[in-house]
Amino acid sequence: MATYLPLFMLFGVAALIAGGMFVATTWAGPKVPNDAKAEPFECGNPSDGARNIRPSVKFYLTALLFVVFDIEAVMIYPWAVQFRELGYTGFFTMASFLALLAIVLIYAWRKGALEWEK
Amino acid sequence: MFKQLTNQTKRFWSAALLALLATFLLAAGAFAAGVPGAEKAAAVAAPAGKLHVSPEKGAGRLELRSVGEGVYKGNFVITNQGTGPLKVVRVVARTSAQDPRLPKGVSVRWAGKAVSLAPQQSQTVQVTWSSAATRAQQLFGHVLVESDALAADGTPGRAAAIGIHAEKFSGPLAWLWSHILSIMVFLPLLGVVGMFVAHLMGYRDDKKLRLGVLGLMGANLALAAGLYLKFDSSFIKVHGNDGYQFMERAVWVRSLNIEYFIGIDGISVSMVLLTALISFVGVLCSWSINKQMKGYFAMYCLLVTGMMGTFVALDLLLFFVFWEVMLLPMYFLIGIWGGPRRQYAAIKFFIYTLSGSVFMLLCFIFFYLNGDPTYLVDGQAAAHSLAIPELSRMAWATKGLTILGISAVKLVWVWLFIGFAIKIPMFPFHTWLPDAHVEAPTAISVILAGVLLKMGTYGIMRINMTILPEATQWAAPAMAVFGTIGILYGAFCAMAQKDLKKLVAYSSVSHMGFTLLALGSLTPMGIEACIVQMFNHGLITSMLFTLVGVVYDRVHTRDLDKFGGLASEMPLYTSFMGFAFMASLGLPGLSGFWGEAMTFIGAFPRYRVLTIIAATGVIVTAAYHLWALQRMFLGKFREEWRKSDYLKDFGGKFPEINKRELASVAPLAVLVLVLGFYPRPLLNLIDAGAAELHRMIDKPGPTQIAQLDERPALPELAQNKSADQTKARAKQETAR
Amino acid sequence: MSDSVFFAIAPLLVVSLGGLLLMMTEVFATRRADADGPSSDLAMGTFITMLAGAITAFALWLVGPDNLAGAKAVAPYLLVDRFTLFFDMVLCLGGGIAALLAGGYLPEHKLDRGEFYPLLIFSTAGAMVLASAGDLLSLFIGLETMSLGVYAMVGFRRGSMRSTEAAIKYFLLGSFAAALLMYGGALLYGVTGKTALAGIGAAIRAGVSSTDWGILLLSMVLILAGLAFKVSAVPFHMWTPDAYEGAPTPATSFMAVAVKSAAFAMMLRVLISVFGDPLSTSWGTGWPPVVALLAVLTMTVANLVAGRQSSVKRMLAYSSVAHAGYVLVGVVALVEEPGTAQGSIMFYLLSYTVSTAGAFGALILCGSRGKEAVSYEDLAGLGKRHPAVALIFSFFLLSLAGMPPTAGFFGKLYIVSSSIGAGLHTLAVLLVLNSVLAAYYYLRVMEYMYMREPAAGAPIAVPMRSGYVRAALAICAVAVLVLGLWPTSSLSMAIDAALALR
Repeated sequence: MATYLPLFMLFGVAALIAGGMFVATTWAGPKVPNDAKAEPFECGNPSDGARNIRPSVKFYLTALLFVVFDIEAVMIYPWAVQFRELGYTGFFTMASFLALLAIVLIYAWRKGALEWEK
Repeated sequence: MFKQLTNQTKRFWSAALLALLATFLLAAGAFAAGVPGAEKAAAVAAPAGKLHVSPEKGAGRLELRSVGEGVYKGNFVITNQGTGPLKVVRVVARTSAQDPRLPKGVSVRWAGKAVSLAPQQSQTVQVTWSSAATRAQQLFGHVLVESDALAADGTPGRAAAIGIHAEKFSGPLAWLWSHILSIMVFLPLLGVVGMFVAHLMGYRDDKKLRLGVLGLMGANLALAAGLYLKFDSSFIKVHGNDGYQFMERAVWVRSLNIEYFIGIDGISVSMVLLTALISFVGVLCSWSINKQMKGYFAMYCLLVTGMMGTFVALDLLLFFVFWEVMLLPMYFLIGIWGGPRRQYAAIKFFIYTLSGSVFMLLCFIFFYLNGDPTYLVDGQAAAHSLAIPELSRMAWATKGLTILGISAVKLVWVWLFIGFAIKIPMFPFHTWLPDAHVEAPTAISVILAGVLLKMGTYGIMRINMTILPEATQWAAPAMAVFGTIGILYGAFCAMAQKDLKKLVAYSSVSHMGFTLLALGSLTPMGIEACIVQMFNHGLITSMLFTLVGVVYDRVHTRDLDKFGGLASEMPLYTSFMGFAFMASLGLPGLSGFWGEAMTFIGAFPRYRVLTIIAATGVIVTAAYHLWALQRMFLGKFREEWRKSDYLKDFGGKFPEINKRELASVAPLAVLVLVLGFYPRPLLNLIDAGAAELHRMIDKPGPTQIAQLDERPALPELAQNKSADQTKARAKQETAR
Repeated sequence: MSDSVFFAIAPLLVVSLGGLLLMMTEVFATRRADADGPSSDLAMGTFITMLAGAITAFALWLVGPDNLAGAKAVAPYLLVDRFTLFFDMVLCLGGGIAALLAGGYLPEHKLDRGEFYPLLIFSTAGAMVLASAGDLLSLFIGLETMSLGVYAMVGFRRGSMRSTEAAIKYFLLGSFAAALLMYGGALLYGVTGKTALAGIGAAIRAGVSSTDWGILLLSMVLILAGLAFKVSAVPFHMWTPDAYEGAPTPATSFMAVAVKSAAFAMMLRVLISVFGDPLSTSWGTGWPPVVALLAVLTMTVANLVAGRQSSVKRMLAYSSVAHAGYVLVGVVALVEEPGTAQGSIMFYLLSYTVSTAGAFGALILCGSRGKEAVSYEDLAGLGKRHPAVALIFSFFLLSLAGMPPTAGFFGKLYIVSSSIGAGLHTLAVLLVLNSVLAAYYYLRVMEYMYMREPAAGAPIAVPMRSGYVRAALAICAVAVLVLGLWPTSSLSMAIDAALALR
């Protein structure tokens, strides 16, 4: 248990500081409420319009596809660096990985996920 | 290219996958063929002999063939399948007075000394059964082969066994006789199939279907008659086959050692006959069912299968399966075709019985897990068994098992007993019965009272008493007390009823109390009385419910107070009702008398006070019967019936009992009368079985719980002593 | 790395490749406007894929996993043993039946979009990975692959608030459970420095310091809680009725059957390989009392609540929770009787799979678009209106209730038998009492179908017609009957499949 003691102490101190600040400001700070302060955001443009504007689902789709290919890049870099050491095993593994991604892309394309205007 | 796919997507798809699959399978097969698996493992192991026993031809059980003059022969082969030499020590057929599995006359031709077999060498052994030496018509048993082979874990292996089997039945009906019980159990299933097919084909001729079911039950009744003629009533344990006749035995679920094991003895034969009879009468009683008639008869036939199976099953799990199979159709029969509160009555019946039966199942599992090793019918060694005769050979009381700190034997006995007591129904568990009876259609009441209630008592005899005799000794007084309470409670409740059917239902509670009192006495007379009472109560109550159904059909009421003076309206019906009431109250000369009288004779030596108390119940019984008779049939006829809507078609008169109804009552009445004056045919059937059961329970010795409790620390002593006693008993037996 | 790797993981490969092929087929198939929806092709294709997966698993079973050289190459990430192969077969069966049900259900309820089938296939593949995972990493990958597909399937009825709510609930709680599992796994790694289950187990068996033991206990609790979420054991079952009710019924069937089986496979594997040491399996210091408590709570609460439901689908959801409780009794018995208990659990899951899938299938068949059979009243009088549907529904319910001669009877018998063999008399008694309770609400369905008339003027559920659903029901019915009459071979397979408790 002794090994973890400093850790727990750290947790304790962190909680104490964070909590203490909240308590201190609410307790000690002067409060002068007015309309401007009651706004959700005190600075920047005054907010107006409906709160629940939904961005089009197209953005999500594109974002998701981006993540897929982003991850692809992350995987390919280290493989490329180690290309010679990994040999054919590595080559075929990466080839099948890319084939899978290709299938996914084809699926997305045929399903119309890439069409911006329908 | 993809365009081509378009129209044939499905076909392309399937072909591609199947090709893929085929490739894998082929590759896997090729792979498997080239795998050096088993040989390698064997080469590593030290050379040792491995015993293998099989029939000369085929596999499994050895079937002995007749060679004329009642002699049956068959050969089996002992093979050394191991890598080292194998010494076969001896080959024996297990036949002795202590172990009455094999009938007499079985012999094995064996040199009498040890024989050594080299690897792959084999030797043929001849088994002979000279059937003239015994009464047995069948041979079920084992031949044991003892050798020095080691078991898989290196310990000396148990002897290997091979099952032997022969049937003495001959003539054109040989096949029928050796499978008669199976046929009787599964013949009604034809009705289920028939109704199903009729439904699918849209067959609408209800009358023919009804006749078909009647024919089916009639065929069963005919088979039962044949069984009665062929049944050897003096066949008991010492004659072999554990005292069972018309056995059939085969392995059903090998991994749980469950067998399809059926057979009858003196205890169950009367119940099988009763079931066949009552199920026939039941069809006649259900003639007026028009609502979903095919479904009704399908359920009815399934019910008969369940009941019949319960009475013949000798494997605990098979027993349980039939027991449950009976439960479900009953639920539907009451719930769909019953009276106004049918759903309530049906579910109450179901839940009550199920709660009992799940505890039964726990007990069966307990027996299974704690039993001694034995052999399945084909000779396969089994660490556990569910066969009732095997379990009854084991000394449960000396095992010292406990469950949650309580003596397991006692606890298991009580659990089992509760399961059966709910069915009987015994006093505190009886509340489902009046509900079920009142709501059930006539035929189902008949079946319920005539057969189903007997399953409880039968179960106690077949399982509680046979497997746990010591615990039965311990609990017998409680049985007798509950029986007596049942007799009085049922009688008084019946007295208070206005509904005629409820009255009969409570009279059932009262009459089934007699069976418990009789069983509790543990005397041979008591046990016999129990079976006699079961049989006769089955006949009489069926008659009563049929007759109640007759009047209910006419005017849709059973309220005693609404009737009166019916004797002048329906003289024939009245006489039948009077006859049934007299039989039910135990008038000498009618069969109901014997059960009660024998109960008192059997129970009196052991429970004097209880018997006297129970005897007062007879007075109450007479009182409510006569009072009911008086209220319904005597006195002045109520004129308001003349204007009743129900009687409009008959000109305001109660129509007399008709021919069909007469046909369903008359055979029962005749039997009641005949057995009343001359009960010998029934007693003959039961005598030996009852005596045998009594011998099982009443064996004196240190295995009794009462004595075990005094010396819990010395189980060895107990075992030795019991061995001595069995020896002594063996001597007695041979002397006899 | 040799070719035989492909043999070793053949069932998984067959199913996944089949899924890919199916996806491509779907997007390239152009159909005329008046043709049937994508289900007409994909349902059968999915079923064939699953069947191929099951058959391949069976072929490997016949070959014997010990004879597969490639099995060593994929270990410990994927363990190819009889345990895995048995679960592969069960999962493929569950997935295949769900596909057939979907083939009838989706077009009927105008949900016919092709995505359902790839989701189903990849979920099944994930479940298969889960059942064979021998490493925390592959376990988590399998778990997430399985779950993601199911989340999407639950929310498949996009227009319905109920379905969306169910999906969100299931997603949140499922992720929470996965997080708990992950956290437990991380702690295990922290204590032992290993991720392979067997390695962790060996390290624990070798002995850990008392501080680490505390952390181990914490991780055990976290993992058990995560597993309990996945098998929906009380008190971690709150999501079950909502998710089961909101999901399209084929997805419900898949969740009740395949997801639960895979979760139990994972539970067995983790408890045996990781927490199989004497300390962890003792009643004083280990998981048995926790699991026993879960089992008792699950059985009792689920059965009591199930009896009070007015929706049949919700009742079936609670009944599936109750069945998880029965299986948990078998899990407790694992300590004393590892072989029999595992055999009983696996046989139970097999019989439960066919019975439950059948029951949901029958429920699908009872309703049609806009008139889905949901409540008991919807089923009133069904026995007269549509005897065949009512009959088969009753049959599956009886199997769930454990009446002979159905698969459910032997399943329950075997669980009770193994628990009594392990000396768990109290649990066994509670189990059978619970099965009486359960019989009550299963019978209630039959009571409505056969013994009641629909209320006058009430909307009547009209049974749909679908060859797919009928085929699925036929498969289930045959399986239930065969397992109920001749359980020997499948029982002995289940026993062979048991993992050794070292």
